[in-house]
Amino acid sequence: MSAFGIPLEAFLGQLLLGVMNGAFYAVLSLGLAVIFGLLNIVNFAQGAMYMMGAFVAWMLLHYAGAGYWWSLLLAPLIVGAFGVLMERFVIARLHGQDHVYGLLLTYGIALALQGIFRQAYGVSGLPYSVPPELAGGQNLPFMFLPNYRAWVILVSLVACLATWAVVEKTKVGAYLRASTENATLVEAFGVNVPLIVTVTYGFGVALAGFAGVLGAPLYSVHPGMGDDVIIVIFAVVVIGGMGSILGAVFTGFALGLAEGAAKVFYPEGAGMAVFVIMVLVLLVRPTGIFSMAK
Amino acid sequence: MSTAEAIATESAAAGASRRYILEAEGLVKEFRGFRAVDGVSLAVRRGSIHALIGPNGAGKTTLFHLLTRFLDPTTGTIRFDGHDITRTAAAEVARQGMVRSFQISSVFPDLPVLDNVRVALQRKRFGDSLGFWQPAKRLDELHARAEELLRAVGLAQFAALRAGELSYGRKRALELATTLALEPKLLLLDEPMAGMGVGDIESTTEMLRSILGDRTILMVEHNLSVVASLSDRISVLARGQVLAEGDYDTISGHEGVIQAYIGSGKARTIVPGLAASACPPAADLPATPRLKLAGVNGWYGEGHVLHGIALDVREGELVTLLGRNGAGKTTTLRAIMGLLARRSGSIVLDGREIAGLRSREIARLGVGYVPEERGIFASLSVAENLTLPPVVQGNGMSVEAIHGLFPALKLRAASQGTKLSGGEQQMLSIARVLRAGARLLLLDEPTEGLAPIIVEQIGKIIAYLKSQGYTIVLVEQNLGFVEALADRHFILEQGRVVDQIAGEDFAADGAQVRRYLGV
Repeated sequence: MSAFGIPLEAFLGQLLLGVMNGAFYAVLSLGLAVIFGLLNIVNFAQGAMYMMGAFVAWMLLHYAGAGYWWSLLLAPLIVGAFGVLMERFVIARLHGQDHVYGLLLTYGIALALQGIFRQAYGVSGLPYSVPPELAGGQNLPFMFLPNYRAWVILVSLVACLATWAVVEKTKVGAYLRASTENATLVEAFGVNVPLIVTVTYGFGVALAGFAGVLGAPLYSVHPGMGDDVIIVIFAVVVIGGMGSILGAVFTGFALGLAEGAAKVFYPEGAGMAVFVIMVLVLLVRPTGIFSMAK
Repeated sequence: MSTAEAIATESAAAGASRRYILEAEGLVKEFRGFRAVDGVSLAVRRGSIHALIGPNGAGKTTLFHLLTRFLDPTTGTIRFDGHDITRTAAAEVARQGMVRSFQISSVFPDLPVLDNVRVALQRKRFGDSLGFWQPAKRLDELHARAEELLRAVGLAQFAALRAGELSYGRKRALELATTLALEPKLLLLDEPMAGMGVGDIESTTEMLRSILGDRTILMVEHNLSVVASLSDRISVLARGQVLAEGDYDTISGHEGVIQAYIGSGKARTIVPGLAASACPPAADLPATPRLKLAGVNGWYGEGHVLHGIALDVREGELVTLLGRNGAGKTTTLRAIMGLLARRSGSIVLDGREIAGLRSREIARLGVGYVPEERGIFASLSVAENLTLPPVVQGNGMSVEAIHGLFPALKLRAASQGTKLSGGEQQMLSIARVLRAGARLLLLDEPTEGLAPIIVEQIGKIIAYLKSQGYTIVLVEQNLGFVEALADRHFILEQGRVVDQIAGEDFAADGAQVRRYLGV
């Protein structure tokens, strides 16, 4: 069997890989979108938080003997707590300043963290194995589907939907949305907005930490893993529309697919696919596809 | 149609277009089955001032969008200056000389006032794209013309100021100057007086009259006295249709118009249904103040806005802050609410100094802030908007009681907050602080931009709240509205309280009040 002259198995395999990458893009850019919406901070440290999530999982295993499932729970909490401290003591000082300051600050933090991990663990990467429960795969009639990849896609979707539901359907989400629009007024109603800001930042980076744990068994755990994704997830947020949650999720998956398809049809250009799409979207809709702005 | 008839119609049309600069025939605009504009025909005579009035949601803004080609009509035709423009692009219509202003102020805040006007002139004189390739001395001509326009709207002395630093009324004047720079034949003004103080309204009315010349003006306006004094002809819109048309006397006597728009006609003088018994006389109020400001100074950036404000409000009392635009009324409310970054002086609430507290701590003491811009959140539904503020005191009004007081909020609970009409948004803005249990209300211009009949409803609600023992600080431009409601009035001028007038002396001291407000 083949599609467009390419063996069907290879084609579907690439698409699956695309959807899986898309799942990472979606979770990472979701955190970015939530943070940007409320804090107006372009969080360049999101990639470093993702890398930290993977390292925390590795450290938990090697120093504490805690396996994958414990890491899936603990690593986001640890990374989130780190984010809370970072927001409180560093980022909060930039409140009300131009975007550029937040961008430079978080970029600086990202570089510093990368440097620390490179110093401590080198650049070659540390192995982290797939949990035994998710080893193996399914022999579908047209392709082989590794269980772990199916799990990553599934759990990412759940995380995205859960975040969306919290933001759109709960009281806390209502505070968050209202504060995004007019934080001063929400505070004048008696709401502790700085606390919401801190918690939101912590949650946003915890999502990145979560993605880091998911990624640890797939990509080797190395200090540069944040660099590999940060530019793409910025493209995702720009295409989806800054601050749009559903936009980030849809665009994340869609770009992963587009990248996968590009790898089949024009492998040399696969790395560019995302940016070509970004340029086209910016030409037609400068505020992004899902943006509410006029 | 025979050729002769066609020619006759043609020449009749030509005659009409000499007399009328703008003619609309049977305009309909449907939004998903809802007819916002439902068969409107309108003819605007050359050189006249034509006003469009009607209750909120009557379709005035939609009609404006249709006439200026921001929206396509579902059916109907529009002729401007003898040409059919029903399908012409908005930019082209503007080039032909139909220029509009917007309800929301739109200046370039970071450019100096003069440059705001010059940019428009440049566009008009040089055209676009490569039009800037000109001898430098042509800029001098533009400067001269820009200064002339600024003088015409009374902004000559502010030419070098950043436009963002102008007061609201002056921003509107600047907009008018940039609009005039485009040398329009027909000016469409969307609520030119919205948000202006009494004094500004007076001078803007004068200015509109003086700049008219051979131009034509079509405006949407809620302030009936402005409409009465300025316009030659008035069209009243209700539910997307022209309800009545004529001069002010015809309109104001029209039964349908009174019912749909003007209301009992007393909104400007007294709020009906509000007997004197509803307001306990000031003597019955406790002597110790609930709220006391002393020597309050406030700054916006480098601008020193409040200069030692002193005032007091007793429990259950309704006081107003009156004054021209820029007198410091809104800033005083913001100072009480803890929203000024830089302030000094003492603000005592229930015997406790609150000047150093954060705004959220002040809200928790039972202070409810209803801002001028209403502050309804677009990303929240009406119900979410209503329940957003956390309950600050145990006796918050229940959602059921709120729905009893504001039935519209129940009907539209699931809609997006900002999809409500202006009047409903105002009610929602008041309702949510009531639900939170605030007992001291800071209301900033609750009647701004609302049709008289809605103003009347808001008045009734405020009177009811007062009868329930709420303490209210009201900033308001509508003197008739506050006259019937307030126990005391504080007059502000340039950031100071310059006078205090008891409610019962307000009518007697009318001349004095009007002098303060520059009426």
